[in-house]
Amino acid sequence: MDTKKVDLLSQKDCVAYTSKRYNKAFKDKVFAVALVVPAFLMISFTILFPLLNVIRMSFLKYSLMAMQSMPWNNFANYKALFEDMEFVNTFGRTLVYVFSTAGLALVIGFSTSLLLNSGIAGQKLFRGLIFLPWTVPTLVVAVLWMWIYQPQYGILNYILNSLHIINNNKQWLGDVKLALPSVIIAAVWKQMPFMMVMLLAALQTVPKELEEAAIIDGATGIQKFFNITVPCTMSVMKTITLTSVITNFQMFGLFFTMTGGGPVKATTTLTIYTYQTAFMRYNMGKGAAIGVIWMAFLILFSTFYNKMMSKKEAFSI
Amino acid sequence: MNNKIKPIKYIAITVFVFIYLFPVYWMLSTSLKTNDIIMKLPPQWFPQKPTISNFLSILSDIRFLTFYKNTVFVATCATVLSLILAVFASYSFSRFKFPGSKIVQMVFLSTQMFPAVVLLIALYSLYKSLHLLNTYSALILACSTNALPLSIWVLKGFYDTIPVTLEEAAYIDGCSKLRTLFQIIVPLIKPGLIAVSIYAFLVSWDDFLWSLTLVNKVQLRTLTAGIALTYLGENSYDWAKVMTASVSASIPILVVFIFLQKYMISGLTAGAVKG
Repeated sequence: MDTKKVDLLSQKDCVAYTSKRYNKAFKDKVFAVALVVPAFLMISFTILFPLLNVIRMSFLKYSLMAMQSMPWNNFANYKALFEDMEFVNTFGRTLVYVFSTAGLALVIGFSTSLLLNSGIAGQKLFRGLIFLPWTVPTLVVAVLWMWIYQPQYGILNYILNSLHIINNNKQWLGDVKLALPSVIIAAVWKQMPFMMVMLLAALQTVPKELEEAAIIDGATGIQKFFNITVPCTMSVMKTITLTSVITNFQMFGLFFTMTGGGPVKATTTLTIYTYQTAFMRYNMGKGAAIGVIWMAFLILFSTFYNKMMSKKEAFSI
Repeated sequence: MNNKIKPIKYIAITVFVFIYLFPVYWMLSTSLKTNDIIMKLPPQWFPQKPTISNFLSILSDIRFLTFYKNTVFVATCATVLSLILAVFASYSFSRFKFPGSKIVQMVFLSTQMFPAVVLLIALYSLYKSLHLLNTYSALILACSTNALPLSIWVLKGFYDTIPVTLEEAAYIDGCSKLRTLFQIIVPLIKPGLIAVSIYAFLVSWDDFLWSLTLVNKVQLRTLTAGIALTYLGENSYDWAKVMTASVSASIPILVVFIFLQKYMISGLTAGAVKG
């Protein structure tokens, strides 16, 4: 249907162009809108419409078991969230996971890209090799690290035992204290390469003259780093960190496969909590309420983040 | 001074690469061993008697082949769909202004903020009423939605680098807008198209949540959900088989990446670094 619309338009356009340039501005606008319509229709169907529906559902008594009747329930879904500490704890756990993963990936990625950018021969080869884990599917990452963490035959326990760092086999994914850090390691392993590649590209745009001028002026390495390298790569760092925070909030594959949210909820993040509430306890209304608070938080966070970051950039110039 | 630091740098980066790629090596090496060797300590660092029996057994498993076929099909369709939509939409964002154009761009970019698992609550009942559950269409739609925002963003960056005078010349020669787009502009952004296609393919191949929830028939499952539900649930201690399935699931992506990484990396960084 959409292609037909575009075809018609182009015919009309031909007429308009071959004859007089009649109504050109208006035609341009129609063409511009027509180009966006197909993509917009798709995200309306898969994202915008469901989004509005979720917001509506969060105010209704809605269960997967009884989909016919959905009465207004006077904020009961939201009240239920704050009746126990589960939601608050889950939110806190999610923040720990998200910021440790994004932070570690950024620090390791930045260090690696600095090392690669310091005039090493074979930079492209190293970059390609380190980039590999990013292409490994998330599920495979989960399974692979489960095998590495495996308590009896896993290679991690063997290595740490032989190096006398630990003296008994650890249950990496079965221990309340170790489970979340273990998942974070797997997540950082997969995500760091992307950050590194982006930062390396950013480092290559840092003007050489600036660095040379700084050296002539007698700046130390650290001064050069904080006054030239960091400000010049700031906008990329800002973008990839925000992207990483937003996508890690949604991390599902690793948790679902590696721990399923356990042991004793030690790795239950918002995604797992929503999934369990809506699809395992069939309380869609409460699941929707979790989602609404979660999205509101992300919108506030990214608005605040962008404001704060643009201020910082203005200072550095 | 430089001469002293250089060797240390090379040692550091080499050690780092070795540690970093060890998990990938370990997956590959496990898939070439039999289960009795795997369950022995100390482990064999190099498979002493490498065997392809795991691969033979997995490739003769009809379920695994079905998962594979489904993944290739869904990922290909999703890539094509998101590419077509992105080529049109990003061209409009790059070249034309219409009322609300900026807002619509913002909407596209911000869609990434809305968690899939939350949208799933509404999508599930919507798809149920439209009889879209347990269809390829549901998966294809979901995967191309995942890839669309970044694809539009990256392609817009590529369009932005092309001078408008090219189009103006074409218009004067009497070329229609749509023909100008396809015959003159699109060939010029080929590197962008390749980068976006690889990205969309990777994203679709990686999808787990949608194939876990929108589909519950074994014959429609894709690799990720298939491996998780079949090989992990069934015999969770058959690590050789699980690793073999994982290696097989990663290989196509690896091949795509090795041959096209130049485009992929330059395409993805071009947009981000400029913006």
